[in-house]
Amino acid sequence: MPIQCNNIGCKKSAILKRPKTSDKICKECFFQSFETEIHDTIVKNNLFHPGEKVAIAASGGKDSTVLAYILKLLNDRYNYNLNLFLLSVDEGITGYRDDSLETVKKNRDDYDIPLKILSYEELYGWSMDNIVKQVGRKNNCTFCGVFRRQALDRGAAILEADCLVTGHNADDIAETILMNILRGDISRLSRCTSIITMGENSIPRCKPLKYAYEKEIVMYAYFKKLHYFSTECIYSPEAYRGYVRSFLKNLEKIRPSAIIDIIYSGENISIRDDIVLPNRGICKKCGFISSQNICKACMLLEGLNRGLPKLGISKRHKRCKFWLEQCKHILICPQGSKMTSLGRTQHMIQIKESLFNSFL
Amino acid sequence: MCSILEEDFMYEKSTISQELCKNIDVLCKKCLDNIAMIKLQKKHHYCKDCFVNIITHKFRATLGKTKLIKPDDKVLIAFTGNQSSITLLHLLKLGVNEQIHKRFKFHPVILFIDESIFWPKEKRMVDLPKIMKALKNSGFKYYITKLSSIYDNYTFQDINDVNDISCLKENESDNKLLSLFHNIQSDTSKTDFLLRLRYQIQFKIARILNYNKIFTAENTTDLSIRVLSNISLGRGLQVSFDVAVCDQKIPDIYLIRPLREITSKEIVFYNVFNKIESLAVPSIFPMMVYNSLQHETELFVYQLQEEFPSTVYSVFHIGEKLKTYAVKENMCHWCHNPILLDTSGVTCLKESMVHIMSKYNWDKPDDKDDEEITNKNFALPSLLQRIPGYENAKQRDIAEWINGEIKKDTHCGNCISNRMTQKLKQSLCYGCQHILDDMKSLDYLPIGILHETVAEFQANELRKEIEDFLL
Ligand SMILES: [Zn+2]
Ligand SMILES: [Zn+2]
Ligand SMILES: [Zn+2]
Ligand SMILES: [Zn+2]
Ligand SMILES: [Zn+2]
Repeated sequence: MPIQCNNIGCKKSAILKRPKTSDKICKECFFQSFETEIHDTIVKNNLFHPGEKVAIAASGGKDSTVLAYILKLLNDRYNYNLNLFLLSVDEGITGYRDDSLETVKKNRDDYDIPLKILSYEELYGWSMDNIVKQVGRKNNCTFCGVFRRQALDRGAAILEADCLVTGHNADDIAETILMNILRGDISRLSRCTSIITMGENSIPRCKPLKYAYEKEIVMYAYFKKLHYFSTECIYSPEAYRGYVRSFLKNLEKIRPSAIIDIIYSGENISIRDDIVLPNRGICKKCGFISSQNICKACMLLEGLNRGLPKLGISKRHKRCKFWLEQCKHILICPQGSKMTSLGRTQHMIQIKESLFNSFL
Repeated sequence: MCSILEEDFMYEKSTISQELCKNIDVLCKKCLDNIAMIKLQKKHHYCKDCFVNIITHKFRATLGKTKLIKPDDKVLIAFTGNQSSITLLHLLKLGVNEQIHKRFKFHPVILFIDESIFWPKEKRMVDLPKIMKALKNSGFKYYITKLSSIYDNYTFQDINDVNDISCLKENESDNKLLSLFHNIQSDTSKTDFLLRLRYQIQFKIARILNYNKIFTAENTTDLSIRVLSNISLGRGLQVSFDVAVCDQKIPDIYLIRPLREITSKEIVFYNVFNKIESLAVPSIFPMMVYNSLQHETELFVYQLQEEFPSTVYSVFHIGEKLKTYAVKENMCHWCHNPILLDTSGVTCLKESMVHIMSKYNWDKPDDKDDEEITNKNFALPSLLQRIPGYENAKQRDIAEWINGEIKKDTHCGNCISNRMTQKLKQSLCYGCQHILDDMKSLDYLPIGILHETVAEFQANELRKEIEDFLL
């Protein structure tokens, strides 16, 4: 016997169980709750103001694809009156971004949102391929990591956006809270839960999907048939984050609300008044947030421009290991680069389907 | 799945062999004289004597830091029988037998709360006598009571008369306690509620015996696991209380943690070096419920700790750096932690979730899964009957009326009961609300726990609550 949708007044039969609440509801009610929750998050946190130019960080992945789709939808439905555009960064690594950029371009056409792709060349004056030529393969991951962290902020600034939105979801936030606790990083812990991060002189970043479960994002994309570039299979997080991630997944399995509960905990803790946090200043050269006088990116650029590429390269390559792994994976993963584009799409669908089946 | 034994001794197996220093050339870091016996945090080598001295020193330093213990103070020692609490007894015994200038001037008295009702029968037969022996050999005065005495109206004399476990016969309260936990639907909430109940019973007994200081044997590892599990239970606000050297949520009782700077690994070594026999009492999970956030967290911390030895300290120190809130105005009636009247993100989210899914938690359809929720609603009137002063005619009117409504099994009766549960929820913190949600019935809640909550239901308030529904 089909179960009736749990939502009040709805006569349809339920076809899914919401990962967040375990409510058995129909497809329409799921769309409705998912969208309204994001709308409420936006309104209650005053994320946007009418007339603003909003840059959506677009990577082609599921989070940013759903974010773009839903912002467009809510902007039309509730008259936010926002000027939305997609912002992508092309690192200029031959063969790396091609597929994801294709997806972003498809998002542009499907949702009718203008797209701006900025290259490292435009942002920093150097493409990654050129950097590799200068510094050699051994050190390039330092550049990738440092440049990538700033690229979106720089891009948003160049394009004079009022706000930059990113696709961080509830799972990401909860994971970061746990990471910072386990590492004893009190200053990051105090920062990582805020939905808007303000940097002096830099553009506010916000996370409208902060309370959206990853599983629901995938589910939403699946039912809405949104086209995204599957990054799941090429994801190989650094070991430590990997432990925390699987821990979080286990917690979610035991009690689905754990993700939201962790965020609740994170939002409610505050640091003792007598504890002094390291000062977060701004870079004297470019004006972005930096703990030093001159930020890392500016330092590296200085080195490149003066023909002293070793300047500012830290000895700790581990930090960039994740990035390196990702670069490597796309090139060597049999299901990644060696596949035809049709095969890759099928691979994506397979992954999506198996994820989806786990909800039912 | 791991057995009861493995749990408390997770370290013993892996580390005794591994961490004992095999390299006989390494000298003790401290005295530079003896050959090192133990390696801590993968790098610090100590000989047996220096290690024991360090632990003793840490213990005394932590106590000193509290500046709370005055000469001739009477202190209640919460003894559970687990590794840490045995260490605590040993350290106290050394302290009171020290040379005159170093001797402890306060008077420790042991309190053993028997939770063995949750143990398998065979274990009870074997291990309880061992615990009794340990109590008798400790040389301290001791009191014994059962966890289920949370239901009983004990006097000083009642507790004083019990001097052996055999005095504690199975009684009605034990069954109530079992039913209470049987009614909690998730292992997570069971474990969480047990912890709250342990505090309640400690406070209750301390008050009856007229003590205002309690020592508990929680070590650094226990506390960091507590911090992390409280984060995932939505109890982030209370983390600073959880690790504090003196937890003073309750104005009249100081809860002091003299072992908070000693890790569980150090505890195990201390006991091994001092040839202290362990009693195989599980520390956190006496009920053998494993599908819980707390147990998952414990496993995770122990695993991570193997590879990153600073994990436990990092988590512990995070707890220390967080703000403690004043709890006087708005205190959770179950766990005595602050309730935050916040307008933060998650609260907003929950509002919009309720708004959208107005059925959620309010009025579940007649689905088989949801029968239990209806049961909870039926339990409420009987809960009302247990309010002191319930005999008051007005209250009875209302309760009867509600009873009548519910018997009719109309929509409205459910709505009212739900509203009452909502009201009850408001006197609980975010974490305890989860426990309430997981309770099939409130029937066996001990009155001590219920009292404050339900007493809030003043007759007129209740009337106000349901006025909207009176036609
Ligand atoms: Zn529906
Ligand atoms: Zn792959
Ligand atoms: Zn800079
Ligand atoms: Zn030594
Ligand atoms: Zn509480």
